[in-house]
Amino acid sequence: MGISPEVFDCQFDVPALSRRKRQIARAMGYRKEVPDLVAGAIDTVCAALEGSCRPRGGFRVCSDIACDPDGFRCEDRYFATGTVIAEYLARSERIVLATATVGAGYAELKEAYASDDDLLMGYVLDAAGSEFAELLADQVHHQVAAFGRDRQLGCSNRYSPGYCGWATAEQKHLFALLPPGFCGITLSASALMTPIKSVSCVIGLGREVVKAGYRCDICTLENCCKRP
Amino acid sequence: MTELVDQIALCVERGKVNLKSPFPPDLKGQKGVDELTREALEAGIKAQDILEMGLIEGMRKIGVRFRADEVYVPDVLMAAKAMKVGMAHIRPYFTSGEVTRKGLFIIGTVAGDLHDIGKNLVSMVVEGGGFEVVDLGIDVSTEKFIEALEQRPGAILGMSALLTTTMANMGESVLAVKARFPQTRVVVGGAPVTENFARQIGADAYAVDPQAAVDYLNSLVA
Repeated sequence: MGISPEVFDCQFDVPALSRRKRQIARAMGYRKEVPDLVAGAIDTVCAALEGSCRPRGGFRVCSDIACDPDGFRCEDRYFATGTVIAEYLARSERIVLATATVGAGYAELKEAYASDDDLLMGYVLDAAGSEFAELLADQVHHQVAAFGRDRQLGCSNRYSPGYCGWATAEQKHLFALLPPGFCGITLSASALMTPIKSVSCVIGLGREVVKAGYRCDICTLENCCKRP
Repeated sequence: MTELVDQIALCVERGKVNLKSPFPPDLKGQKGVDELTREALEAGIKAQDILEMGLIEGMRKIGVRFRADEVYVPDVLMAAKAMKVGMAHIRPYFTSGEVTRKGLFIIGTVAGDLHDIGKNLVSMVVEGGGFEVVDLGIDVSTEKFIEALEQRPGAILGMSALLTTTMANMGESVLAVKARFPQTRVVVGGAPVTENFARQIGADAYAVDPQAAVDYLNSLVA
């Protein structure tokens, strides 16, 4: 297979965050009733995020790949994902490297709440920011899946360094294969993304690739946020 | 007098900051920690007693209820907010030496990890437990933990990690800290961390929740 990098910017439906207020409350532990104070805080934070954030996202499709039981090679980089993720990507014909970020507006809001010493708003913002980042990642994933469908390729779930035993340090490989400053995201020496509330992942595309759920049944991490 | 201090404790536990605060709804229109702490001091109640039997007791109660899943993080945050307002009245008494802290606690999220909610909760509850807290923030390198201990000898150290993949960094940091400061006590926590893991990496204690962290620190100063 030849190298045929394809790089895409994504478009987002930002107001969708307001439709995730229940998920934001659930992320904070509220399964049923939400106290007025917290519900009000969620409303305020969602409106602020929708108004001030400038989300970005995109993906690159790589064809020069080789998968094995422990990970995969993409161009000159080897990703030691571990066997759990490697199994899901095994039949990939292309690997998609994707990122999404809530954008710099989030940090500005966080700073504002911190300077007011508003612990509650800071906490709600964190929960809403994480939900927002996942919402953006969902939309990037949908666009990747649409890219695959157009080429009769199935699409896997998305997998990120830091989960399922995949070392966060491998963020460096992922970002090394993206254009510099892609989507405005940079990586620190300890592999943390800036702006915060950014997401990076890999997705497999292939004629025999299917989207599988996380195999939580074999994982020992009881408190993982990916558990249903 | 006892009634006033008990009321302070209740208001801390319930997150009733001051008279103007509409939270919690059933205490609307009543005095909060701000007014009651000022009143207690003006009434001649010892600042140390207000701190221990009012403010710390209130935080202890909310910490226990949080551990029992009776309340959520926002409730703890509101209690911490109420505690802070009370502490502002007590602070001058620390400076004068009339009120003393139990000890110093340094905490940080380990290198490569940016999760801080749990760490922040522990910070608040430990401070509410009567300790001085130095929060190093997130993505704290081993060097930064050691530098903090060099600047503040005798401190107890806390480390947090939320990813299985950053737990390795926790192990490295504990090893380095113990090599440099063998007498320093280290307590660790975070969603993927277990008692077994804490033991394996040479930590002195594992805190399953914020109240457990305070209980451990209290056991060291008792």
